[in-house]
Amino acid sequence: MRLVAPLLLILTVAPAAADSATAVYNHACAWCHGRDGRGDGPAAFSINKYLSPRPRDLTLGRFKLRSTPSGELPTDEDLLRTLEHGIPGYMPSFRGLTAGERQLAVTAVKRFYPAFASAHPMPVSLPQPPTLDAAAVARGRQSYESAGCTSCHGERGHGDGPSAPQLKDETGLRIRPADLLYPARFKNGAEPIDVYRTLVTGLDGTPMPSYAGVFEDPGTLWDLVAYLGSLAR
Amino acid sequence: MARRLLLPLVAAALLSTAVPARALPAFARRFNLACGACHSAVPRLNAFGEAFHENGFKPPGTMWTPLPGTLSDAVTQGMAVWARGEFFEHSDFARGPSPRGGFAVPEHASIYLAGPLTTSTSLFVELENTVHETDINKRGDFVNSDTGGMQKAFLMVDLPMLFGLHGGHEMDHEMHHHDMEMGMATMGDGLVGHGPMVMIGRVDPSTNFSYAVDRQLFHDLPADTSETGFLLRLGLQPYAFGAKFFGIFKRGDHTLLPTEPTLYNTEAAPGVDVHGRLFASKVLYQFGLTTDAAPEFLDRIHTAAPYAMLRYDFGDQDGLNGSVSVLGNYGRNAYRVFYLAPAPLPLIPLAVPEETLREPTLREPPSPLHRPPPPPGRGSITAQQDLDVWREGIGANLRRGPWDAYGAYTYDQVYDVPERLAGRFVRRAQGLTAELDYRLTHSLLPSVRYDWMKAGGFQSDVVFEPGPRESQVLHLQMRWYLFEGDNLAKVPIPALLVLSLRDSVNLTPGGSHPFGAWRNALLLGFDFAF
Repeated sequence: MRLVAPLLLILTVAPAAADSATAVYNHACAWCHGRDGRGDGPAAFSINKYLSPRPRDLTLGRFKLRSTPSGELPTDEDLLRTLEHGIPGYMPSFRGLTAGERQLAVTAVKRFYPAFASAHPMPVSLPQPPTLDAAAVARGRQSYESAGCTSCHGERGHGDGPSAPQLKDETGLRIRPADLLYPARFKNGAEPIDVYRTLVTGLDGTPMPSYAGVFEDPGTLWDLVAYLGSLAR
Repeated sequence: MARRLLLPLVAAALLSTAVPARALPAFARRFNLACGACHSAVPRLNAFGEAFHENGFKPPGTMWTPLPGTLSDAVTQGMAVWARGEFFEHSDFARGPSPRGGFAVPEHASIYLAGPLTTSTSLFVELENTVHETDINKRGDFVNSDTGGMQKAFLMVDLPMLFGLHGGHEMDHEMHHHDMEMGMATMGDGLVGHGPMVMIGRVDPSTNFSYAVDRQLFHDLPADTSETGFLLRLGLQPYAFGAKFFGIFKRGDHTLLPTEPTLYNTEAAPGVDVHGRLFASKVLYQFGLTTDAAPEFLDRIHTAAPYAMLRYDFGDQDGLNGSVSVLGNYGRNAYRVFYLAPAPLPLIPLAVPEETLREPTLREPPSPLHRPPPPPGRGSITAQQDLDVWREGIGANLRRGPWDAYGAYTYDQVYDVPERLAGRFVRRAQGLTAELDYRLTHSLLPSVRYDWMKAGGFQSDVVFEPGPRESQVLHLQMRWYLFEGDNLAKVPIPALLVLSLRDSVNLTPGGSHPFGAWRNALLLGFDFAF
């Protein structure tokens, strides 16, 4: 063993990277996001071909999965949550990195957009969910229709609303509205608090807007969450 | 430490018992990803997929992945099935049974069990049934038969992880969440794997080559035989990977057709493979020892072939990336030839001067058709000779956005050819395969492939009549990915269904010889994986 270990060390020892954050990023993230963070890594195209989403261009400072108001930068916790949970279908979970490496990956991602250095993003308030009962579901269904959700997600939530075929993301790629019957595929999480967060913050860069302040009664958003939960198969 | 050594020992046990890995929906289910995360076009891997494989079936840079929580999860996230074949074939022959065509059953069906087991060790098992394997039966006739068995069964062990050189290797999953130590991804400059990784068991060494043998968008088309035991057509497989010699046998007495893929002397067989990144560079090294035992259980090992490969990866932005590989392998007694034994010398009167003796002439082939020799020990062909074979090759691929170009060239040379076969047996052979794929739309993939082979071996004998030993084939194909695990909302459990329409044109037709007898082959095929 004493002879084998040094030999293996020789074979595995690496030249020092520019720094640890860059090393982690290059190991785990650059395949899709590219070494320069432009979302043009060697595997970027094949992930979804001619459809959205493509790997995020981290140099633009536009992030879909946030707990902050629409148009603002995400918090470190937001970036960590995406890193640890992954994005169903498109990005694996990187919980297999050590906690220190995950933090370094966040550091590397923030470097691509200099405004992170002076930004202090604050998450929106996420209240505790009320009881999501049948009455909430019924109210949520009415809100679902009145708020125009059907135009993209369709009457039954299949993602087949009349606007769906024309939808594009900010890069001009065609984007499919979420099929609400399969919450496990929600990119921003499927728990009620996750769905609420998505409704409040929107998904920047996509046609999904923020519904913060849209309803007079803040409880309406929870009714919507209840209704969306009732659609799940 | 005893536990650390247990798994490799189990792998060694698997040696007693390989066609290579294809897309595995179990991985997609386990990591909640569409096929496109790892595949540019199933079964072709993209750069992330190559790194995923290199990292022991885990996302690059990561040291562990959660194990399935329930038995149900273990099944859905660890097992997969795959079937591929042709719905329909229509082939024209210059002479003979033309046209050849009809509906066929799936040619390959596989069951997989795969995934990471521990932080250092991953498992891959593939059980495959293949129809239309061509061999020679006891009567000496060419026949197509079904085969099956354990094609692949290996453990991939991350040695540095096993010996604790990456740090954090012994932490359980809960501890990972609190650990601030650096791990594997902190080492090196990225876009590299790590290692050395050791694959032990029934291994396909070709997986790391720039053009992996098993990841073909064009289905292999098997050789075709007549009911009377003649070989009508050689298979349509990438010529660069073909055995490339006429009249040779493997594993003692199994015929090895020139088009049968043998990039590292074998498709997959018991062996040990080591690969990794020297100094965490973009150079991937690989070396190992493979053998020739067949997938059928209890088939014994006849030969061992050491091999080595170097791959240089380039490009990591603007979507541009690729690699160049060079390989060499040496198969000791890998091939065998049977030929006419010297006829017994006639009784010679002592009065006859010795210089008047003449070499007995060889018998002419008993049939102008492609009559195979009798099996060893029967008939008049009793002499045999084992041959060594050296192969060197280069492969490359270049990918950018929807484009994927790749190819390989190999050069083979055999040794120990009996002097008696001088002039009848060509010792050198070459093969080239090049392909270009373009993702036309989200689901349509047209491809074009070119194959060229200059074969060696017997120029003519009782196995193959005189005829072309050089062949070129042009293939055109359109693949339609009905779903590729990407529309996950509609197909919530990742699965794959692909239809393909293909036309293969023989550019060097040649009479009734099986290398050139066919002219055109139109095929409608499918891939299904779940």
